[in-house]
Amino acid sequence: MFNSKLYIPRAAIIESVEELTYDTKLYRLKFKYNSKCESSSETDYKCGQFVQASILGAGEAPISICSSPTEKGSFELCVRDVGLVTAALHKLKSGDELGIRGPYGNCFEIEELRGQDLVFIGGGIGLAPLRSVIKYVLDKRNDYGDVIILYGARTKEDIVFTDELDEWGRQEKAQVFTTIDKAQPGWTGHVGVVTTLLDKIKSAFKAKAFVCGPAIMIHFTIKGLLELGWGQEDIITTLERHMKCGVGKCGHCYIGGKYVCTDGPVFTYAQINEMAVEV
Amino acid sequence: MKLEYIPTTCPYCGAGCGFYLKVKDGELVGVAPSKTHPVSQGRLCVKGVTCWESVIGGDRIKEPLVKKNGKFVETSWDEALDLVAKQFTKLKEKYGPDSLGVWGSARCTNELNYLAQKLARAVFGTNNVDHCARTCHSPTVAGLVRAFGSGAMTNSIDEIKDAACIFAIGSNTPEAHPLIGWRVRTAKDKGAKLIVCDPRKIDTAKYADVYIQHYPGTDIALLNCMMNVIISEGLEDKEYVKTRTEGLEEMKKVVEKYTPEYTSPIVGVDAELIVKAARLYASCKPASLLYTLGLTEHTVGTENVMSVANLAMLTGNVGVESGGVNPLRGQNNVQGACDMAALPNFYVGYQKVDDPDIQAKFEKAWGVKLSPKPGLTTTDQVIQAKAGNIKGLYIIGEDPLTSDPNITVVRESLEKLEFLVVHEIYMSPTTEMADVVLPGASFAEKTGTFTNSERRVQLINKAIEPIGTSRPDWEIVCDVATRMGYPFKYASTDEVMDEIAELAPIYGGISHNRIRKVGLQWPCPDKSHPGTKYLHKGKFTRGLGKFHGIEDKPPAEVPDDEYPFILSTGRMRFHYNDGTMSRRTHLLDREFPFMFVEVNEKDAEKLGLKDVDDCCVSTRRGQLTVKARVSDKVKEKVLWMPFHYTEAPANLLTNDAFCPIARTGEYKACAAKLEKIS
Amino acid sequence: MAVVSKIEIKNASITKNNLFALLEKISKEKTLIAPVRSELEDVNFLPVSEPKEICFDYENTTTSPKEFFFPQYQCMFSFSGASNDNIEIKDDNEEIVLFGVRSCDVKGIELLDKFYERSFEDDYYLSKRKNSVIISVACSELDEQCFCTSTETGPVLEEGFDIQLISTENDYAVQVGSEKGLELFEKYKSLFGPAVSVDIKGLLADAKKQKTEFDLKKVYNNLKEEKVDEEFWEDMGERCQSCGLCLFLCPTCSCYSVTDRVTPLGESRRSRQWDACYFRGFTRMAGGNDPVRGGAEMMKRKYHHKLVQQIDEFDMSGCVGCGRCSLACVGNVNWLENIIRIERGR
Repeated sequence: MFNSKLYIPRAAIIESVEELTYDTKLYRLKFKYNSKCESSSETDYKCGQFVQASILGAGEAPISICSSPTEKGSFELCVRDVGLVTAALHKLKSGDELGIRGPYGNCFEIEELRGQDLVFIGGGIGLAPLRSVIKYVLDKRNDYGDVIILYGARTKEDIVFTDELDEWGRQEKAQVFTTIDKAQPGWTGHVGVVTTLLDKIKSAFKAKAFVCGPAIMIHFTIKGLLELGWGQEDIITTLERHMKCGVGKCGHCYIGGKYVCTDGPVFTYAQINEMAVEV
Repeated sequence: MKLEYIPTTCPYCGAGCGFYLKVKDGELVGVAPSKTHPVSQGRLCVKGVTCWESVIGGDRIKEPLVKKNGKFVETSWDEALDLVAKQFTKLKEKYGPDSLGVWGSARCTNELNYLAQKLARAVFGTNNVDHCARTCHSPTVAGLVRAFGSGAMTNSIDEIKDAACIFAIGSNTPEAHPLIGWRVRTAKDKGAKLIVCDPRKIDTAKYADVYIQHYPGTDIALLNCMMNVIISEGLEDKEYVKTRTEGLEEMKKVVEKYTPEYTSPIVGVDAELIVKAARLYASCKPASLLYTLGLTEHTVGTENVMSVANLAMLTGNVGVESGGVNPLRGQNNVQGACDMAALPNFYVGYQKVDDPDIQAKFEKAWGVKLSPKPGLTTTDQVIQAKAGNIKGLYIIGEDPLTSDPNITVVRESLEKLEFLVVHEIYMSPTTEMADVVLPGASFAEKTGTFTNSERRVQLINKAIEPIGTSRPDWEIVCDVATRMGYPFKYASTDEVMDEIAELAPIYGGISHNRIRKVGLQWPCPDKSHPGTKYLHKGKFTRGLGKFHGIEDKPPAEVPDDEYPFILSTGRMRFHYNDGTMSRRTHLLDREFPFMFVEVNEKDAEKLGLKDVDDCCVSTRRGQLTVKARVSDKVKEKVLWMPFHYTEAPANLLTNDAFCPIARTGEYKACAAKLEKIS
Repeated sequence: MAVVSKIEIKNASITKNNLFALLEKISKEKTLIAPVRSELEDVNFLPVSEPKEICFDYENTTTSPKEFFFPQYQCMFSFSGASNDNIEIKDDNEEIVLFGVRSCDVKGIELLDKFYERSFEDDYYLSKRKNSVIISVACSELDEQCFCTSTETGPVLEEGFDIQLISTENDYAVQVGSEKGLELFEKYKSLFGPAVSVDIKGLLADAKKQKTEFDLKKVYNNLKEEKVDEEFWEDMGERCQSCGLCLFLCPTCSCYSVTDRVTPLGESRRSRQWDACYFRGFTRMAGGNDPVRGGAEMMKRKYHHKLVQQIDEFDMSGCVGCGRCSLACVGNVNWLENIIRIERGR
C-alpha cells in the first residue's frame, strides 16, 4: 500500500498537469516523502487499480490510475470535473500537494493473458483506466499478441490522449480506430458511436475484450460483442460506484453481493451477470 | 468517558418529537430515539435523526456583529447591546413607539416569545409584534376562532391513527410531518379510509382510497361541493348540527350552487370523485380532517379554513375523539409563539389587546401603561417600512428575505429601515442587511419550552454550551429591555414560565417541573389539571360552532397567455424552510443538493424539456434558472418549487398578495411561465 | 487477528450480591458501561459510576452497543491547511467494560468484528474493541418482537463471548469464553462461586420450541433464487421514508459516510458518521447517475445483503433478531413480518 495507515492519506506532489479536454486533466504525481514507514513507491500498483485522491477540506474521490507500472518514478491520474472533490482537484497546479490512499481494488489480470490477442474498447474518459493496461502491454510488446483499440468520443473536443492514440496505432501489430458520434467540421475520421467500429474486430472473438466508458456505451458494446460471438468470460469491464472508503467498509459500493472497491472494480461480464447488475 | 443522553424536543417541524441528544465530552455526536415519547414513540424522521449536525456548522455566528462602514465588525456584547438599546430608544422618542416592530420566532422557545412581546409592549410601547405564523397558519387562527372560538388543532396527534376516515387536504403529511404521516399510514393499514386532496401526487395520494388532484386555489369550490353532496344526500349529522351549531341556513344557501357538475371544471377533477369523497367522509366516523399550508397560504386562506370547519361540523366530527379539524403547524414552536402572543392583537393566551379589562390586567402585572391599539402584522410592517412609517425592526430567528413572498419588495422595505437588529445562528440574506447581528444559542444550547401542533408544551434541555459567545435569545431580550430602562429579571426560563402561567389561563397549570416527562396539552388551567387531549367536547369554545357561507374566489393572480402556468411552492422531507439547518447537514443536503421545478410530463414534452434539463421559471416579479424534474407528480399546467435554497429563492417569484383577514401571502398560487434553456 | 480469542468454556457462578460488588469494583477501576433507565423510561447503555444506576430489569436497550465501537459520529483526524503533514489522528481508546449486553447484540458485535477485520483492518473500530470486555446477560424471556431463535443468535450463546451470565433461580451461572474474559475473571476471582453447569443446547432447544418465527435456510434460498413477488418489494419501497433510523439502530449495520468539515471552534476535521443504504444519495454518484433504480431495488439489496451475502461471507446471519428496526419505522415496515413473507416465497 502507498499509505501505511488505512484512512490517512499519503502526501503526493503534482509534478505536472496537462489539460486533455475542457473538463479533463491529467496529473502526474510523485510522493512527497519516501520514509521508512511509507516505503512503497510510485510503481507499486497493478493495472486497473484505483486510488482515493484526497483533498483536505473537500473530501476524497476514487480515481483510476491511468499510467502503467512499467513507468518509473511517478503515476498518473486522469480527472474529470464532475463534483466537489474533482472541482477542488482541478484548482491544483504543478507543485501543489494532495493526499493519496491506495492502490485499491483488483486488477486487470494481464499477466495471465500473455501470448493472447487483446481488444480494448474505450468511450470518452473510459480510455483512462484502459490506458494503464494498454501502455503495459505495449511496454512488454513481445509478451502479447495482436492489439486492437477502438475508441469513441462524443465530439472531437472530448477525445482524450489524442497523441498517444496515434502513437499506439504506429506500434507493431497494433491498430487504433477512433470515432466521434456525429460529423463535425475539421474531422475526417470515422463517424458514429463506438459500436459502429465493432466490425473491425468481428473476427477477433477469441481475444479478450476490455471495455470501459459511460454506462450506456458499455451496455451497447457488450451487447454487440455477445452478438459477435464473444463469451461472457472474455469480456472484461470496470464498474463505477460512489465510494467513500475504497476498502470495503463504508458500504456505498456494495452491489449484487460484492464490494466494487475490493472485489472489483474489474469484473468479467459473467461475474456481472451473477451479481445481477445491469450494465 | 463523558457520555450523556439529554432528552429534548425536535427543532424542526410542529409534530414535536422527543428524543435524546447524544453528548460526548461536551460535543453533539448523535441522536437516539425515545420509545416512550407520546409523539415519536421510538421513531423519528431523517431531519430529527440528523439534527445534531445542523447546529454545529463551522460558520456559526460566534460574536455580536455591528455594521461599521458597510462591513461587519465583531464587538463585545456590551457594545452591541448598548447600541441596540440606544438606537431603539432614539427611534421611539423621535418617531413614536409605533415606528418600531418586534418579530418573535416560531423557532425559539415560548419563554423567548413571551419576553419578546413584553419587550415590544412594555418597553417599546407598541403592539407591532408578530412572527412567522404570518407566513403560514395565521389564517388557521383567524378562521377557527371565527368558527369554533379557538384556533388550535382540535385533537391530538396519536388519535389520528384510530380515525375511521382521514381527509387530508393541502397537506403533504409524510414529507412535512413524517410522524403524523406515520399515523395516517397506520390508520390506513388498520382499514381506515383515506381521502387526499392535493395538486401534487404525494406519497399519501398513492395509497389513498380517493385522490383528488385539484388546481391550486380551488379548495373552497371543492369543499362547498362536498358539502352540497352531503346535504343533498341527507348525510349530514342532523342531531349534531341542530344542537351544537348555528348559521347552517346561510351556509346552505351559498353551497347550493356548488353541484358536482358545476364544480368539476373549476377544480379540474371528475365529478364522481368528489361525490365519492363526500360520501366517505360523511359516513365513516370518526373522521379526522388534516390540513396545512395548501389551504392557508392563499389570499382566501381564512375562508379556506372556515370551509373545512364547515365540513367538519356538518358531519359532526368536531369535539369527538379521533375526529376534529387538525391544522398541522409547521414549525417546532409556531403554536407556542402564537400562544405567547407574539401577535399584534393578543396578549398571552389569546387575550385581546383592545379589551380594556385585559389591558388593565397586563398594565397591573407589568407596571406600565400599554397601548390599546392592535399592532401591525409582519406583512404590514414590511409594507409600512417601505412607506417610511416603520423605522426600526428587531427580528429574532427569521429570514424574511428567503421566506416572505416577493422578496424584491422585502429587500426594498428593509433597506429603508433606519435600524435593523437580527438574532440568528448562521448568517442569512436578512442578516446581511442588518445593522447589528446577535448570535443566538441553538435549541441544543438552552433550556426552555416548545409547544407542538397538538398544544403539548414540552421541554428542550440544554445539552452543550453555547457556541462562541452566543447566548440564549431570551437572555439577550432581557438584557436589551434592562438597558432600555425596564429590568427583565429572571433567573431562568422556569421563572418566565411561571409568570406566563399566572397571566394566561390556558397555560395556568404549566410549569417546567410538571412537563418534565411527557409535556402537558393546554388548556391546562391549574396546577392539578392533567391537560386536554381534544377540544370542543360537549361544547365549542365559543359555545356553538358557527357555519359561514363562503363563496369561491380565484387566487390573486391567475394564469393568462403570457404566464400560462400556476406556480406553487412548498416543502420537502429532506430540507426545512430556508435551509439554514438542513443545508448544513450532510445526509440531508446530499439527497437534494440543488434547486428544481416540478413539471408535468406532458407540459415538458411540449417544451422539449427532459428531466434535469436547465430551464427558466419566471413570473411578473422575477426569474430563476433551475433544473426541471419531469414526472406526473404535478397536474398539467401546474409547476411546483421548493423554497429551501437561498441561492435560488423561490420567493423571488411568488406573489405578495395577502389574505385580507390574516395577512398571509399567496405562496401557493401565482402565474408563471417556463422556458427551456439550450 | 481475531478480536475474541476463544478459550474452552470455563464455568462458574455468581450471586446477585457479588455481581453488584463486582460491578462496583469495575466501576472504580475502569469505565463501566451498563443499561441505564432514563427519567423517561428509555433504557440505553451509558457510563455508570456506581452499580445502583444500572437497570437490571429490561428487555433490550433502544440503541445497540455498537455505538461504543462504531459511534454515530467520530472524528477520524484533524488537519489544518492543505498539507497532509498536519494531520492529527484522533483515536480515543479508553478501556471499557460493557455490562448487560444481550446475546443478539453480542452476535452483532461478532459480525462487526469480522466485517471490520476482513480485507483491510479498520483501526478505529478494532482498537476500541481490543480495549473492551463484554459481560453479556442472556435473556430469560423471549420478547414479542425479537426472533433470535430463528436467526440462531440467542437467547443464550454457545461461544463467542467474553463472559456470559445466565439467570438461574437465585443467581447467575457464569461462563467465561475468551482470554479477555478469563483475565477479568481471574482478577476478581474471589467474587465468583463454584461452577454451575448449564445445558446450553437444552436451553436453546427449549427456546426454539417456544418461539420460532421462520426457517433461515428457506429465507436464504428464496432470496438467493429471487422467489419473491416484485409487488412486495415495490410496497416496501413505497413505505420507506428514508429516515435511516432502522439502519442506525441495527446492531450489524456498518455503513458510514465521510465528511470534511470545520467545527465551530475552527478545527478542520475529516469525520465519519452513520449512513444508511435507504437514502437515494447513498448510491448516487457525482454527476447524478444512480445505479440503484428505485425504492424496490433498494429494499431488495438490503435484505439480500443481510440474509444472503453476510451468511455467505461470515457464516452467520447478518440479522441478529433484535427487533429494533420494526419499532422504529414510520412506514410500518416490519422486518420480521417481511422475512416471514419472504419465507413463503411466490
